[in-house]
Amino acid sequence: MPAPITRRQFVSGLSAMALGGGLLGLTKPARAANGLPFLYVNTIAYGGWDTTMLCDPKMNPDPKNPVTRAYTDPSQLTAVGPFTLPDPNKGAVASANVLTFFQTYAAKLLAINGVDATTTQHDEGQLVTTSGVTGATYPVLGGLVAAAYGTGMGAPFMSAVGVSTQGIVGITPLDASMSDALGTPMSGSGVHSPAAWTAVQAAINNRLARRQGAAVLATPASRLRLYRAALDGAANLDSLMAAANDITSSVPTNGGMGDVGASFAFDVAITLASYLRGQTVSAQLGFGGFDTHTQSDANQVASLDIHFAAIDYLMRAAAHVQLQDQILVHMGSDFGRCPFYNGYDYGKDHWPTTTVLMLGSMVGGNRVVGASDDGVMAKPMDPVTLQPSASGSNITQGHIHNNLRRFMKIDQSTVTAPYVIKTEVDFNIVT
Amino acid sequence: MQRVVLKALLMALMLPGCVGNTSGLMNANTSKTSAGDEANGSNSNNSVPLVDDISGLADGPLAAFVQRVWAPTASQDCLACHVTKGYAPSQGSAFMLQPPSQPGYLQANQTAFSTFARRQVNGKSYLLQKVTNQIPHGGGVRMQTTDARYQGIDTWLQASFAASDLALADSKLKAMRLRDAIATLRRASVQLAQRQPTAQEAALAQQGNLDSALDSVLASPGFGSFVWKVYNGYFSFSTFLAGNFVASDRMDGGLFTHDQRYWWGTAGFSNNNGESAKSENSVAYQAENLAVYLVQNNRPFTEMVTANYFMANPYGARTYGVFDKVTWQDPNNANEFQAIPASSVQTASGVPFPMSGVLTLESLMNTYSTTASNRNRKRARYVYSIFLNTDIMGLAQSPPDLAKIIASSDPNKPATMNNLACVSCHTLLDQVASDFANYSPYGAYATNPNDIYPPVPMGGAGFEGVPVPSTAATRLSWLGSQIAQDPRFADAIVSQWLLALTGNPPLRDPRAGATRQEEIAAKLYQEQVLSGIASAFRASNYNLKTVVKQLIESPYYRAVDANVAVSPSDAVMLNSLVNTHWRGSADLTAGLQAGMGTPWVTDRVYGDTLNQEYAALMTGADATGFSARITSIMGSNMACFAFYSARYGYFTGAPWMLPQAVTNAEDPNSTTGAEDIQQAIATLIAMALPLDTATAAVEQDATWKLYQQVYSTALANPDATPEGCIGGRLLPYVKATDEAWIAVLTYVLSDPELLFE
Repeated sequence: MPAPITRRQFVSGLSAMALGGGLLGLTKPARAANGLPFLYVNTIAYGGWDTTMLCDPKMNPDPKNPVTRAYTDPSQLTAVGPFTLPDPNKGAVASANVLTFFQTYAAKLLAINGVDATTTQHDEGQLVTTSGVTGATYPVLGGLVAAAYGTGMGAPFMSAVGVSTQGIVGITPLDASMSDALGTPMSGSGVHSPAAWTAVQAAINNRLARRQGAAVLATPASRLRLYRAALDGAANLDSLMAAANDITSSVPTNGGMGDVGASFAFDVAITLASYLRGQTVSAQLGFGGFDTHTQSDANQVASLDIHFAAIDYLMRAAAHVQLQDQILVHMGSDFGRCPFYNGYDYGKDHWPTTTVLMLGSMVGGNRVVGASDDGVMAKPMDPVTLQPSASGSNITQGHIHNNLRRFMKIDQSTVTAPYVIKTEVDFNIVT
Repeated sequence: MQRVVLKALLMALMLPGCVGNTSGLMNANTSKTSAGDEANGSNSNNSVPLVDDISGLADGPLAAFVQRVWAPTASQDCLACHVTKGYAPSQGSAFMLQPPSQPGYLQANQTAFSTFARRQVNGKSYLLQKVTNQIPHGGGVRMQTTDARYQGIDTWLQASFAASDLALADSKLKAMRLRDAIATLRRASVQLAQRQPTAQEAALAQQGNLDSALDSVLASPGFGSFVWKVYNGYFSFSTFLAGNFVASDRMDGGLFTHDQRYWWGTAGFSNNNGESAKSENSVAYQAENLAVYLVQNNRPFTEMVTANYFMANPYGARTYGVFDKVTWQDPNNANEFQAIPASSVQTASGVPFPMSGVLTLESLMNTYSTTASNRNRKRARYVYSIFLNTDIMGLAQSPPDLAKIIASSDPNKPATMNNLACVSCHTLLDQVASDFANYSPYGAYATNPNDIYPPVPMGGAGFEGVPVPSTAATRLSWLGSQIAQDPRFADAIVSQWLLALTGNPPLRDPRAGATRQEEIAAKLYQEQVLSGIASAFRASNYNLKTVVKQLIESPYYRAVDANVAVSPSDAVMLNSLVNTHWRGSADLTAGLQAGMGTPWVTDRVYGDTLNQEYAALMTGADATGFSARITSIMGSNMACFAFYSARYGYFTGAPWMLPQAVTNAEDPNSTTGAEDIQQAIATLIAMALPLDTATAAVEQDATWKLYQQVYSTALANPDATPEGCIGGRLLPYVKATDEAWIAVLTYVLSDPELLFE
């Protein structure tokens, strides 16, 4: 495993960059004519987050059956631009990290409240927030992005959690053992002469071409195509660790990240380094602890604290490598939580109305779109004005995914064609 | 080259435990379908996709039912309540549907609808009047007459049904290239026994007796390891124990004293030989060892949930205080596991030691732990999933009916028994959950459930409407007997082994996402195959080997590719037969072990590099730059060490299986040398790769050309040879030979066929 770079090396790298070179030899990925000009990151808050503790707070129309016990008075809420949040400094049971996060990133933050997840089942909720559909198994959006833009990349789609791309593109698991794999040349160490290795590589390529030419059905053909892509990308992963080590050694983790701190920092560093190398175009991350069937308020606060401290780390790391304007973070959860407590120690069960957050220079920040009523039911929205309208439609994850597909210009892609999300109307929230 | 091929096959058969691949199936050289053909079609959150053209592959009555009624409506809107012991029958409804876990559920549901659909009231369909609430319906209005789902049911009701879906599906299979008996045997032997087939097994397969050949493979110790691994995936106690906990911590302190559970720390023992680990492993992996015991002794696999005995080695037996009650072949052998009657255990509290297969084991209790609010529902959910083939969550209505939830919500009553959105699942789930009420989150047993948690209303212990009888020894022993009698048990085991053998779970139940007729036909065909295997499993008194053999002999294990060009629609179904998975670190290691005689051994991590170092990256889920990189490193690294081992006697502990000719330095330009080298290449490929005859012949030519190229280049420039693997002390032509062989080995070990399942 390569040794982490020293601070002196890092400073030297910065100097080189200032003189026109890249950071540690890295340069921002060139924006190809048809390429995606940013890194797409999707996150799941596993279990279903309570939107009333995020940016869709509710008062209690029925004190005997309250929507929330975390706060009881509007004075316990704080406005951050267009966002309204429960404020722990005003006596609300709320996440301080959420408030800080919104204060820090409001200009790049878009909140979509009142999203109809259309399900209260975890499996389906995790599918719909990552892929936009229930009832069918589609690739997650990060997978579609990688399939469309990641040809030839060594790790087009990285994931720290279990998701499916339906085989259209390989998922690179984010794991610490990556450092070992990156520390050894593909030809082994001192095994072959350059000429022999060249000959072996040529023979391998010829063999693969023969097999691809013989494949008839899509399944074996797809398998070989993915292997071809993996081989193409594998050699491009050299030197990734040096760039990752630079990030982890230069960007301190936040104590609020809790137990996930070190591993999350590694995942972020590898992802950003790989993006900088032009080897990754999308990533999937996740956070647990949101399925709060008991002690919901306290447990939500703990999980929200970690979640938003971690996303803050991601943004600080991105800024360190000057990618702060080349990253889109799409945050969601399985669904929301009930507008009432269950009978188990103030737990909250599953509820289909949720909130989706988008973070990035390109999303048009400082905005809240969509809404839910006092009972946390999604309000129908006019697809043109994006304002509540009785004749409008509930915003669904399908609408949001279609919007993002259009925004990222993959809606007409051949890789997306088999995975159409049909909706009656389109919502153009991110343009 | 033909002579070389035949000679190589003969040589491979002469090698200990080695056989070549002689699949004689034709090559595919026809036009291809698009990659997208394997994927689902379009879908919508807001609309109900229907295919208007009922023709072609699935032009039969069952397909029409699935397409018009089951997928868009019944599976999503009716099943949640109209299921056995569900909410609707509890309210007096006689209209019953079967969930996807039931064998032949589609046919049964078609029959249920057909019978129901004949009923007329006032000259109109009773069914259509029910769903629109024109005749009062307990579930209220489910759809309007203008709804596409209503139109779908109406169309189905009026349709005339004639053709057989399955006959059409069968006809499409003729376009599929399947592995022949020898290739199937080889694949099964490598995967399940981590070895090449024996000459006797190969002979049986060649004589057309694949079943007997598989009997021999499944009798080998390696199959036990495979079974162990499969069930370790379901009862991953080892994962749960990560951290400071050990298995003895999670044993019941009321049943077994501290000194008993930690006997190696008491007087008379020293723990010098790792007694604690040997004991902990025995306790932790009882579920896996029970599965192995049942298979190796041809016992009914239903004992997984009914066994009134437990598995322990001599060390684990001390933990349970029964070491002296067992006759051990070797009391110091941690790998000797015996089935020990629960009745032989004297518990500390004096209560009979409760035992009903895995249902009562620490591994289940801890892998699927519980909380004060969960109340064993997680355990119940996984019992349904693992042993009853039922996804409880899948029974729920989607999207949920918020009006129902709100209307029936009452903070003073448990939603699970009152809220209409909850009762459909919880009616089934909560009874089984209550069967576990005697167990704490960590599995400690209490004779009085109230000692674990104070009682809450959950409907009482039982199984699908039947309460636990007062005569039952324990709730879980009674539950185990119910599961063992349930036809879904066999289906569950068949589904598990389809996944274990092919990497593919059963096809999804056709719902709104399945818009193509061919997907429905693929599901129907699979239903037929798997139901047949489940029936055979039951008829064999639940001998697991019956399931394994029949799955191996089915198209789901043997399909390779189409042998002719097929239409895009036919391709949808044929693609469902082909497995798409890559080998994860464990399976790839098994392939290397069988093909090369050793896992990836390096000087850095002497043992098993793939499993010890790269298991997280080599999940088998996908091909990525990282997995390609690792396998590339592996190919070169193994080639180097294999060659050194064979030629110079290094790493003699690793039993490399290289052809003899590899160790000879022969001039490839001489007639004898060329022939010997080609022979060695052919044998090497036959050993290492699961290729059919035609593909193997092509590979032998390509490999021979690579050998010649590297040899001549190295001979011309001996100084370029790296020091790491060859060294600089050899004569040029020897170095050239060595380098050529290492290149060849690298090339063979990089074959994608080695990387696929």
